[in-house]
Amino acid sequence: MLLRALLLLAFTHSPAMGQRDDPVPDEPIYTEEEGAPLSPDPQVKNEVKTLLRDEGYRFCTDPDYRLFEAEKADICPKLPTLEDRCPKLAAACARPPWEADLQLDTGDSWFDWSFLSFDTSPLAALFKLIFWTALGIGAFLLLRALIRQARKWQEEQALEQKYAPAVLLETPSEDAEELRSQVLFQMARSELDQSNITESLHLTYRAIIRALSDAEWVKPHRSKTSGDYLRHLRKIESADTNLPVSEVKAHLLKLDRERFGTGARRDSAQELLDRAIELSLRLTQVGAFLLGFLALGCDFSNVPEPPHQQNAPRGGQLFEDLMRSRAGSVTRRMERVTEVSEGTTTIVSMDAPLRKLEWSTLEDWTARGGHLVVASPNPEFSSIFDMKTSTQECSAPLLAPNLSLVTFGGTRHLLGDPSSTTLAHCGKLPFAQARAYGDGWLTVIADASFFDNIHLTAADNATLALHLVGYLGEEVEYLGPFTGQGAQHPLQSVARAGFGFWVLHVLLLGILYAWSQGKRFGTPLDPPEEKRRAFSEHARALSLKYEQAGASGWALRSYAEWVLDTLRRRAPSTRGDLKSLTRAVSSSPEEATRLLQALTTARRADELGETRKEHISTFLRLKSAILGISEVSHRSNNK
Amino acid sequence: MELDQFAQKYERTVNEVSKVVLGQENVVEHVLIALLAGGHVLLEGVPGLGKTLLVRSLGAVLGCSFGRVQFTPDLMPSDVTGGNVYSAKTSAFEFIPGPIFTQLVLADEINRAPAKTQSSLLEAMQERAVTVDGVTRKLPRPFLVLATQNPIESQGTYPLPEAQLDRFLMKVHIDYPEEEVEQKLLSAYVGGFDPQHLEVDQVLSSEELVQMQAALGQVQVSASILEYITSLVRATRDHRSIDVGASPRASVGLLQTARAHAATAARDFLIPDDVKNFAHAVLRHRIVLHPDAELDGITADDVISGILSETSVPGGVS
Repeated sequence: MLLRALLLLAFTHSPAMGQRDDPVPDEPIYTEEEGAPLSPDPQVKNEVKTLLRDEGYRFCTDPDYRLFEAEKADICPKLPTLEDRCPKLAAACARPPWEADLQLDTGDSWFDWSFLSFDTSPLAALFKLIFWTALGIGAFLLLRALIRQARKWQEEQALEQKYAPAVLLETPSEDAEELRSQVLFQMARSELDQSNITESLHLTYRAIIRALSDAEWVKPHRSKTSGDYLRHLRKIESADTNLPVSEVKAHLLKLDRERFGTGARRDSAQELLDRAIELSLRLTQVGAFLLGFLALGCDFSNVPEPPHQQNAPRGGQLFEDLMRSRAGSVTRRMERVTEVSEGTTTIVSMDAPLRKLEWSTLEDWTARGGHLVVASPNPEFSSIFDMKTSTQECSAPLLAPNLSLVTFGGTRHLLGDPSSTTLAHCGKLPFAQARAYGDGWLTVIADASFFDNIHLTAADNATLALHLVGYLGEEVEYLGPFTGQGAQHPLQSVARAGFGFWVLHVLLLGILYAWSQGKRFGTPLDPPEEKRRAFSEHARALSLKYEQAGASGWALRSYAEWVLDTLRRRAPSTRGDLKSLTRAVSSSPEEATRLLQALTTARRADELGETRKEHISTFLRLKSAILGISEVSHRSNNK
Repeated sequence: MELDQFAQKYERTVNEVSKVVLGQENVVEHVLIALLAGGHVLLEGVPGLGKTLLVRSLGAVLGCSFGRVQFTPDLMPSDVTGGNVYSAKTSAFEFIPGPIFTQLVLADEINRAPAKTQSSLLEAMQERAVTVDGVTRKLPRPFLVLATQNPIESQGTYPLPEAQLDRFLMKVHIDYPEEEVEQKLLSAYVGGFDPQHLEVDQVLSSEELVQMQAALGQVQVSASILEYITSLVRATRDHRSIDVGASPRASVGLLQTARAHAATAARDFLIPDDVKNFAHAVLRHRIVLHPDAELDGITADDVISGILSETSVPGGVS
């Protein structure tokens, strides 16, 4: 009774209470009115019961739920205190612990063969079948391409062995594309050793062009000269001035001078080769830098999952739900506490691993009138708030006036702060203390585990928990083990989501694919060649239109006009009349007559009222006349 | 003459001609290379692009005599070559030389004259001599014919026969100048430029020009380059779009042009670029396209580009 009187006195007559500015309202932070006893609250009990009916709380609703072994040891002996709100928990206690089937559920292997099972719904089985078929075909194609590439690589290896004596690069790369220019350089060195200077120079040239190609600067082709490459490099130079284009240009010009000039010297060939190797290394460094950058995305320091899900017995969902029903909003803080947003009325910290700087921010906020609730404070909290908040294990029962409390697996107690008021005890030692802090209010609770789901389910624990956090106000920030653990950049986020492994695999597959495709991958293709058949296709389509329109006469006349026009262009010196024209283009009077007749008939095709069959006949005559002339012309040209 | 000296003189010539002929650096280069290679040039372009100006300024810069023949349908061969005329004073036939007896001859609109007159140039262009009434007379050295023809005028023109075309070392297209160049041209006229009075310095003498032509002998040619030239020219004979391919004279022309280009860079050896850069100019007028190709809108330049892109260069990537 004395304790309760002190508690009430402290809450209702604290000089700081009436002087606080917003965001904490000018009213007692605890909801008890003066003289009202701390007693079991059936409303809270009902609320807890209602919340636990949600399917999310499987330990209360799912008869197949399994508890961990440690949970069983803590919870099941005190089952009677839980059964009215958690009717299925008895079944969970009766079942073997989760660890008992660990081998069956997960196995030692990371690989789960269940993907091969088609014992599911027909639709799901169909999707599985399509997926695996597609994957199988893809894997086959990739494998085939890899084998082909490997054969090429083997041939290059044979070449490399042939020219093995020359060792050029101090740190040879294993990359296949790189190896190609390496092979060429080695061949060049070997030829140089054998005094085949011109051949060595040609190989050096090929190697440097290959290196340029690897750097995506040029697209090599057997018909391209140094001038062609240089023209292309000039364009790149104008786009990116950081590239050593001018050095490459100078080197190519020197190489040409030595390759095609008379009397190439060994020392200059040696110098050009060394310089080419140096340049090629610089070019490949660009690619290596990019690959290194990609590797940064693979963060293997995956943060382990918390031991319990939020809805599990040791999770904190129930407490969060209870807070939500009492505050306007409850926000989980994932990022570090560098500032507190305006309008925040209460900050609840449950075993949050905050740093000194973060506690300092909270201290400042509390002193300016904030309401801070801290459970399981860490040493940094004690140093910033200058309070003796160290905790120790406590096996004694938890005590609060008029309340029946239960703990599962023991709890902790505070060493005690003389300037604070104790709100609950663990045996004789303080469990929760509260005090005014500047213009604000600070509550420290020894053990955050008192706020987990299973604790709040039992007895009057929820009533005490809500009593300890007191008035929440409109906006509550909820800090926990998750605070400050948010990803610092998107790649970390990917890694934490467990996708790092998959991203790495996709990247690896991409590299394998690029390797299997060889030089073709990513290089622009030549524009498709213009087809010679385009004109004939156009003519065919047009004639189809004419046929559909029944305009064969008109088409024939148009064709004749076109023939006439073409003949005039080929024999421009003749007069414009048909007779002299046909004579000029034909080699014999017979052919001229045939052509003249056909042309004359065809030009009047739509006026003569002939049938489609007759039109075709005229067309064929005209065509054969022209072909006859063409053949004669061709023969005469060949002669 | 040393090739370094050759390159310097060439550069000075180009700079001097480019003072007058604005924005046609490529044409100037081609014409000079042809001149150094001892060949003739057929210029094709619309009227008013400075073809005559180019030839006149070349004459002034090179210190060569210049003659112009305007080809018309009624032009006679003797109007070009000259002929024997009875002299009352000496009571004998005297040879009056035609305009061809100059070192630089501008054959303007050459395709307007009939084949007979055009053929009067054949001997001059090939043999550097003219035969009139059984007497052969040598033409001055150096001798260069610059012929022009207009591509858009087809009425009243006589296409040049293949034999005549083959005598030209190069056929050069002249395009309209860029906008900036045209503005510069107008500014020059505003500043008092008079095309009749060219203010260019004589950089070379005709003797020096002959020495430069002789200096091409210093340029060595590797077997691989010869093979490349042969491959290019032979490819024109087997191409599906070509009816009549280039002659061996084209191979020789391509070689000489490439040597001249190498010499202008003070090189005593050829590189594939020397050949490739002039393949279009040397080959485009020497091939006759198949009628189907013409109907499809394919040009000689397209075909040559195709051949160049299909032929491996010596020392290139495999």
